[in-house]
Amino acid sequence: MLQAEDLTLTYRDGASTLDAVHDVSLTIGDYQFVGILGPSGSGKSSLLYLLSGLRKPTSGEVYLDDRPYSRMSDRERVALRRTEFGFVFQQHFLINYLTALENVMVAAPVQDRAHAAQARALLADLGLKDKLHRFPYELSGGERQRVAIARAMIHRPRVIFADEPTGLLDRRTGLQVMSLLRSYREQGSLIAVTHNPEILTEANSVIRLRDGRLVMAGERSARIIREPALKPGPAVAHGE
Amino acid sequence: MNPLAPTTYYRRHKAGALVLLAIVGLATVAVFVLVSVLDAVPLRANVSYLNKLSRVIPVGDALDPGIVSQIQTYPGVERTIPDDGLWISLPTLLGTDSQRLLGVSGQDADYLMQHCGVRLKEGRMFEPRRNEFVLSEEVARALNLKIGDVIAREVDRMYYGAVPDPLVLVGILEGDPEVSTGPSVRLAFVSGEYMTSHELYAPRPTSLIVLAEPERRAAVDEFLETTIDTQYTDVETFAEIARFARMGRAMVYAVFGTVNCVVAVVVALVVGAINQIAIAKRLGELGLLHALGHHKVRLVRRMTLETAVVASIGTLVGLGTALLVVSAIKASLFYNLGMEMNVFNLAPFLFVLPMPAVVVALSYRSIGRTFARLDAVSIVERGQLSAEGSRDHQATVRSSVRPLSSLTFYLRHRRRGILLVLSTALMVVGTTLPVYLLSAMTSAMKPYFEHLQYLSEVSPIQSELDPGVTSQIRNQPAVAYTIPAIRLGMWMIVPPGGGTDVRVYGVTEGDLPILLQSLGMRVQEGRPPRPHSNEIVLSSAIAANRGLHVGDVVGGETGSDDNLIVDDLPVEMVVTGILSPDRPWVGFASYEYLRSHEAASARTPLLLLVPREGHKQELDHWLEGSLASNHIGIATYATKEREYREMTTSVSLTFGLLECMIAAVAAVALATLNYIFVLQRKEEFGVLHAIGRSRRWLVSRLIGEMGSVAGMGWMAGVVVCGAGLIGVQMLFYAPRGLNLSILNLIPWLFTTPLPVSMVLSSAVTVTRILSRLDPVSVVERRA
Repeated sequence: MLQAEDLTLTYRDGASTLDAVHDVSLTIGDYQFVGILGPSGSGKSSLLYLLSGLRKPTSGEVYLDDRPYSRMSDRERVALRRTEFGFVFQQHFLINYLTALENVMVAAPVQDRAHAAQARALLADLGLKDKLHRFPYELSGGERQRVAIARAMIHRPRVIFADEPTGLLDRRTGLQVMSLLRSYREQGSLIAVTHNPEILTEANSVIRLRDGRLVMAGERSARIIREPALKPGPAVAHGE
Repeated sequence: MNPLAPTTYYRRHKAGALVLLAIVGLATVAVFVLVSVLDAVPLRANVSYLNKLSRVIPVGDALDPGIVSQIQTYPGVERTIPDDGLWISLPTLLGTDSQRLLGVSGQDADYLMQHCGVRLKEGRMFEPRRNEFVLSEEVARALNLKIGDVIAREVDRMYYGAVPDPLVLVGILEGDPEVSTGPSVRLAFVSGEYMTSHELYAPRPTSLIVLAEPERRAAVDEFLETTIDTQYTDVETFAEIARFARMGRAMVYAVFGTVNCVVAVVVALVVGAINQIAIAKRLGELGLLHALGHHKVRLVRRMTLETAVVASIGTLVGLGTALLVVSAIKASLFYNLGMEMNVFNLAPFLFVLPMPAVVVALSYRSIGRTFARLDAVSIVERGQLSAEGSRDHQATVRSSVRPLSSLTFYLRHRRRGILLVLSTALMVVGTTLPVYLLSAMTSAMKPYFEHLQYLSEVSPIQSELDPGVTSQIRNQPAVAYTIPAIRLGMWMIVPPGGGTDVRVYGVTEGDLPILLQSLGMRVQEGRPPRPHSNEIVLSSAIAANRGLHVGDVVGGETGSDDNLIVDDLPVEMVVTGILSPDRPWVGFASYEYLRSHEAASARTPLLLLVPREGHKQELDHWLEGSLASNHIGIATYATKEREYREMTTSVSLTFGLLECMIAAVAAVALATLNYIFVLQRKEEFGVLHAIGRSRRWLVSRLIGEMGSVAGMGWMAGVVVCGAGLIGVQMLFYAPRGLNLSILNLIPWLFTTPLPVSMVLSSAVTVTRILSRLDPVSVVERRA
C-alpha cells in the first residue's frame, strides 16, 4: 500500500516560492488503477515524482507498506525504484543504441537468458514480436512507447508510474497503449498522470489536482469510472 | 557583422571553444616545456671552461716534454699553463656533471680569469700552498656552497669523491660584464702548489691548459685533436664537447620528435572527435544553410576555418603559458642548478608549430568526409545527415543479453571505440617506446661488470700498490688467488648511439686458466694469447658486437671510423681466440707483452682477486670495509651494481617524470573527450537512474567502459612496444651480441601511467557529472 501524508513540494525562484504540490494526502491500495488528472502546471507530474521517490517532498511523508521514504537512504530509494516500481514517461526515453529487446532487458533484475526470454515474450504480447532487434529510431511512436511499457513491466513491479504515457501519441495509439497498461492491474497497481480524462475510463479512482492542491478524489470521480476494480482497495484522498 | 564568420559559433559557444583551446593549449605547453628543458641540457657545454681554452692530458704519469714543446711552439698558441687540479661532480637535471678545479698558481689563475672574462665576486683568491679553492657562483649554487664551506670525500662521496683531504671555499667568481655579455664561463681554481705538495694528492699527472689566440682558436684545436691526441695523450677541446652536445641534442630531437608526432595526432583525433560531435549538434544549421544555397565546399571551408581559428588561438595561448612556465623553470630549477636556458630558443617553437597544422589538416579531412554525405532534406526532415545514413543502421544486429555491458556499448559505437583505443595505443607507444628502449638499452649494458660476480679488483689510485697491502691481501683467508693484471678496455656498442666500456685484462699465461675457470669460460675458437705477444682473446659477445673474428686486428691506430668507438687498447692487438659463453663481457691479453711495451708500460698493475669457493661475499665485504682508501680503489660486484643502479634510476626517474607529464596531458585530452561523450549520454543515465540504477552503478559502468578501451589501447600499445623490442633485438642487438630482456618488468611499468591516468581522470569527471544528475530534470527534458 502506498500512502502520502501532507505532501508539499515547494520550488524557490529567487525570493518567491511556488508550491507545485500542496498538502496532499492519499492512500493507494494494491492492484489499483489510479488516475491523476489536472491541467498543465497543476502539479500532477510532481506528485508522481514524489510518490515514486524521484523527488523528496519539502514537507510531508510517503510510505510504502508503512515504510517512510524519509527514513530510507538514497541507495534504498534507488533500489525501491528498481525492484518495486516501473516507469513510463511521456517520451519513451529508450536508449538509442540498444534494440527494443535490449531496452527492455535494461530493467531486468538479472541480465541473463531467462530474463531475455521473458522480455521477448513480453514484447511479443505487446505486438512487437517482429521488432525485437530494431533500434528505437526504427520504430513508430506507438511501438516505442510499447517498448517503454515492456521495460516498466519486465521486473514485475508492484506499482507502475506512468507520466502522460499517451501525451505524444495519436488518439488510437494512445488508447492501445492505455489498454496495455491497464492490463497490468492483475499484477500490480498503475498510477497514471494525464490531462486527458478519456484514458482514465477504467481507473478505480481519479485524483484531480489544481494548482498543486487536491480538488477531487475517490468516489467523487465516479462519473468517469465505468468499470469496477478487479480487486478491492480504492484510492482514498484525505482532507479535501 | 557577419553571422557566419569563423569566430561567431565559438563566441556563442564558449564552453566548447574553451575545451578545444584547453586541449590544444595544454599539448602545446607540454611539448614546448619538454623540448625547452631537454634542449637546454647540452647548453652547459657553452659555459664550460673548454669554451675558452683546451686541455691536454697525459695517459701515463706525465706529458712528454717533446709534446709540450711542440704545443708551445705551434702558431696561435698564446700560452700554456700546467694544471694539477682535480674533478668534482655537481648535480644537473639528468644525473650529475663534472667540474674541473684547475690546479694552478695564483698568477696563472688571474691570467685565466682575465682570458675567460671572469672576476672575483665575493671573498678572496686562494693562497699558495693552502687548502683553499674558488669557483663560479653558478657551480657554488648547484652545490649549495658558500664561503667558508668545506668540501671533502667525507662530506659527500658522490660529489667530492676525488677530494681526499678537505678544501675550503674562499672565493666566489662571476662573469665580468665589462669583458663579456651572456652567461659566464664556469671556472674553479685550487692552488697548484698545494696539490703537488700534499701527500694525498701528489704525485699526480700534470695536464696542460692551452690558450689560443682568439682568431687562431679553431686551428689550434684542430692541431691538438689531429696531432697531439694519440695513445699517449688525451685532448679535451670545445669542438669535442660540442660534438657530444650535438649528438645528445640529436637524440633528444629523435625521441621527442616521435613523441611530438604522437601527441599531435592524438590531439588532432580528439579535436576531430569533438568537431564531429559539434557537427552532429549543428546538423539543423548546416542543412538549412545548404538548403538556402550554401555550397558544401563553402560549409567545409567555414567549419575548418572555425577549427583553425580555435587551434591557432589555443597554440598562441599555449605558447604564452609555456613561455611563462619555461621562465619560471629557468628562474627556479635551472638557477638553483647553475644551468643555462634560452627561453626564446627556436627548437621548441619548431616542435610545437606542426601541431595546429596537423589538427587543421585532420579536421579538414574529417569534416570533408562528413559533408560528402550531407543531404539538406534529410537533415531538415529527420535530423539525420543523409537518408543513406539511417539505412546503414538498419543492417544491424542481434540483441545482446547484456545490453549494459561495455562490449555492447562499443559494438554499437565502433568508431568511438576505435578512436579511443587508437589514441591510447598511440600515446602508449609514443611516450613509452623511447623510454622503453632507453631503459632496455641500459639494462642490456649490465653485463659489463658481470665478471665481478666471480672476481674482485683492487687497483692503486695514484702510484703502485704498497707491498704491505699486497701481502695483506694475499694473507686474507677468503682469497684463493691474487693475480696481477694490466687493465685495458674495449667499447661495446649498444644501439642506438650508446655503448659501454668493457674490461680487457693483461694477465700471465699461468694465471689465465685460473681466471677462465673461475669465470666459467673456455676458449671456444682459436687459442689463448701467447706470452710476450700482442694477442688477445675476447668473449664471443664482444667479438660479435665489434664484428671481430680470429685473426682480426684491433686497437692502436686501427680505431674505427665511428667517433663513438673509443677502445682503450694503446697498441694493436691480434684476436687469437673467442671465449664462450658470451657472458661475462671480458677479454684477456698478455701481461708480459703489455709490461714491456712502451705504450702500456706506464699503466700501473692492479690485482684481480679470485675468492675461495663460497667466500666471495666475505672477501668483498672485507675489501670495501677494510681496504678501500684514498690510495686504493676497489671494484666489487656490489659497488658496480650500486653505480649502475644510481645511473639507471636517475635516467628512469627523469624519463618517468617526462612521461607522466605527457600522460597527464593525454589524460586531460581523453578525459575531456570522455566528458563530452558522457554529457551526450546524460539522458540515458538520467533514465537509468530514474528506473533504479544507482549513481555508483552508473559510475562503475562508465569506468568499466573507459577502462575496457584504455585496457585494449594499452594492450595494443604494449604489443607494439613488445614487437618493436623484439625487432630491435633481432635486427640490432642480437647481431651485436647483446640481449634485451623482455622479461625485465621495469620498462613495462612505463606503459602504465597513461591508461591509469586516463581512467582516473575519467572517473573523476564522470563521478562529478553523475553526482549532479537529476533524473527528473532529464525526463522532464530540462537537463
